[in-house]
Amino acid sequence: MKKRIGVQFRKTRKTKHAFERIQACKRCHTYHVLWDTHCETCRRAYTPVREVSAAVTRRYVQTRFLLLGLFVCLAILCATTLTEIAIAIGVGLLFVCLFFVIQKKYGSYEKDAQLQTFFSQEEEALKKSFLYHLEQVGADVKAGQIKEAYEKTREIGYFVDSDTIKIRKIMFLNHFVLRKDMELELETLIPSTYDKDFMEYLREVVKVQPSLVKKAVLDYVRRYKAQILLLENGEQLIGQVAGAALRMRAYVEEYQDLIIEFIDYLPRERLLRLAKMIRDHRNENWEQLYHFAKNRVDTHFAFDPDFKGVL
Amino acid sequence: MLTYFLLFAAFLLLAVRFFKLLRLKRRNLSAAEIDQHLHRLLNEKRNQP
Repeated sequence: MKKRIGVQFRKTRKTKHAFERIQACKRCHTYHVLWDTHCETCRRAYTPVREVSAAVTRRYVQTRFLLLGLFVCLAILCATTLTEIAIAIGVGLLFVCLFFVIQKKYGSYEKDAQLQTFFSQEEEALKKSFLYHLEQVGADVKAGQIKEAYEKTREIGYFVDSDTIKIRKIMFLNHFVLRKDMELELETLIPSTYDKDFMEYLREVVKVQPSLVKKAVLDYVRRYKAQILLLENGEQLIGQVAGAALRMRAYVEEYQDLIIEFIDYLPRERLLRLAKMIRDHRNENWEQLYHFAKNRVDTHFAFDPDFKGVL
Repeated sequence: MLTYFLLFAAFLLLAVRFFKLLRLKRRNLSAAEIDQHLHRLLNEKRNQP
């Protein structure tokens, strides 16, 4: 078994949407998703990508306004009679006012649409920046700075949804001692195929943060049950995962088969929880679960005072 | 005559701008949709960056 190291992860920024994490260096025309505030090449402060896109929109609106002004001015200059001058000035003022009213009322919608277009236009630059971040990760790994490598990969992972990124993160995480107070992830790391390193990580996570076991994880375990059973202590691992599923009634209902199959590997405290859940939900078609749970309790915990009278 | 022509051009510009903004309002793009678009862009056509 390899030696794990104790680390304290850098707090990740909380944002409602992933794109809010992107920062741009206007001078170098690069993008950045890590925690630095200044560009390492030109030392200029990064600007949030929304602001950069808003500036593009602002310039576009200004150009349209100037064009409108130009037409109105030319119309005034080309007027040959006083009536024409008066009409040109009046209509011109009306148009300018209308322009401002329209802009004020609907301008915000244009900003959002422009942001989407902006991302499409900057696709290559964004990909290049992510590639650069991945090169930084590679350099960190070579330098033995696994913590930095993980933190950087975690930030990239908010944007790039690939097995490569997930497996890299899992491999980095398997170098660390996991603790309750850590900001750990599980659902976002599930690879599309069976992965042994992920199972090793899952084994550790279930011990410290069982609340991270959700539907996607349970589905994964159910799908690759045969492979997991080939692992050392595979039954115990599925038992722990099944135990974590006992947090919610909906999971108990949906994963009854898994719980029943690995009921012998449920830790005592989880079995007690299951017994209490069955007692509280007697009328919910849990007869089979009741039967197996009762059997396990009678066999192993018949004299345990905590189980007395529960089932 | 040129005055009216130029005013008409200004009007056209304003009208195009109005309908463009109206179309964007109807589309009402949410931040979540922009996020999805970005993810699609970054993850399409390949399995790794």
